[in-house]
Amino acid sequence: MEEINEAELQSESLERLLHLVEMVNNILKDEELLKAISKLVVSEETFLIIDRLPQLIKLIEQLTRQENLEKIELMLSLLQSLDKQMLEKLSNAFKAIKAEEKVKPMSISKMITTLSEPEVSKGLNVMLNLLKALGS
Amino acid sequence: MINMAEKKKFLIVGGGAGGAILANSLVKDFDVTVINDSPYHYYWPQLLQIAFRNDYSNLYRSLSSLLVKGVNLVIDRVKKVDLQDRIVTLSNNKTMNYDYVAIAPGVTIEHKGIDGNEKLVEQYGDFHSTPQNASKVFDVVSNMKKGTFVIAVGDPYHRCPPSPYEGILLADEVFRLRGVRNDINMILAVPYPRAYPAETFNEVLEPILKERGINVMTFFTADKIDTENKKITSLEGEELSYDAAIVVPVHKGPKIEIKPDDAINQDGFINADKFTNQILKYDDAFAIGDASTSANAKTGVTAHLQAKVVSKRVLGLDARNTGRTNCPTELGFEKGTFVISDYNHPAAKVPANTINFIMKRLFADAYWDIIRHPEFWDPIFDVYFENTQPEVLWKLFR
Repeated sequence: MEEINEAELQSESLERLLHLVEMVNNILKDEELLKAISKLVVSEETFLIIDRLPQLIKLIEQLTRQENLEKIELMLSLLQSLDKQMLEKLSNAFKAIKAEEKVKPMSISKMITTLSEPEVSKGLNVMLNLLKALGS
Repeated sequence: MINMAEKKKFLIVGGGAGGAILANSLVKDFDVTVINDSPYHYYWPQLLQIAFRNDYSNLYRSLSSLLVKGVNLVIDRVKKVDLQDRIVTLSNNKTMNYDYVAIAPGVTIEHKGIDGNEKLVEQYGDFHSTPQNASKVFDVVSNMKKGTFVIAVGDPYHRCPPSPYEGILLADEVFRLRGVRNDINMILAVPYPRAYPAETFNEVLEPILKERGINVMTFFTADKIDTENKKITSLEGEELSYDAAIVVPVHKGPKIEIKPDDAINQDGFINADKFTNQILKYDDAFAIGDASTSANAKTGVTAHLQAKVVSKRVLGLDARNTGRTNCPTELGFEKGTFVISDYNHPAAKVPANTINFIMKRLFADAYWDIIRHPEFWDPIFDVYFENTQPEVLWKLFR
């Protein structure tokens, strides 16, 4: 009786092995699947990753240090709190400064007039709030 | 160990994905018999591979090779199921009684449900009915040189919801590889207000169709086909000319008499509870898969998940369907995506990429092993379904 059970178990194991072989065979015969896997593995991006792997590992090691993780989280929450429109305006302002080759000197009367413009006073207000927050 | 004499009789009508997985999951605890009208089990998604790639490799296996030792197999057609008297009648009028029954025979394809579709299928084939018809599609796409190629939907409740989209995109791939795409106008005609019925998934699909130059005709439910003048008329009253066309046929419930009469709806589908698969008040009778009204998508994965729910319920566990769908969708050029939704979430915006194509193909290549060895695959699928819940994917792919 025990011998029969043992034989049955062995035949079941063999059958399971054959089924697994059939599945692997299906995968190996699937030309399109293998093509897709090859394209994914052999690509410009994977070569780049392999080439810079030592630097990447070093960077990951630095980034995942507890103190750095906390800083990154703070940076992320700062990013989330930033207004997209305001950032766009800031970026445009920087671009305008870069585009202006020479900064013309401004007279005191012109400066006072400019300070009274609503757009400028709004900008100053933002700057003051930021400075206040940094000082608190 | 339960003796055979003590085991309750569990009859399963149909040996498709749902029926076979249910049988293999229950054999330790029940005296299980599967009744199927064919000695073969067909993997229906392969019809698309035949139609657009002439690939027959995964089409069928003998059903006996998929059922584990101890499951009884009867090859015969079931004529009648009497839920009141617990009797199943076979084509030769032989009867079988049961303690539990699960009805999972799949759908009946009715080409005549759309006027002219029988003739159209003879000419151009389709990819929802038979391998022979899928083979006709391959002849069309590999020989067409110019003109208008149409795929139209006549029945929104067809098997494999993404199949018309897969069909048109795979046809596009064939035409491009043959270098004739510029001379072929491709049209996908659908009954919905947009290309894909679920708005969220449409956001994934529509840009792909646009990029590939496929014209989408909305609010077009194919109703009548004039094969002589090569025109399809929709229920909405529009007309569409074609040079070659495939119209997704009407799907009906199984051709089995089920008593009492209110167990089936007007289209022949079996009225089953969407959470438990139980038929009406009969706690010993279940309907699973495409034949049941409980399937919110007519796919093998839905049948698989329903089979698992039924197998747990008959063992006394309170398992319930979540309405989870998991339709792997091939888009051509080694890109794929998944239609994943449940009762509470419409399809998530799963992006089209190569990884999803690889996942889709791995599912297909592992299909026979998944049927044969639920004990091996169940823990893997439990993790997969848990980690890819629509709720999770909705947050991930906004």
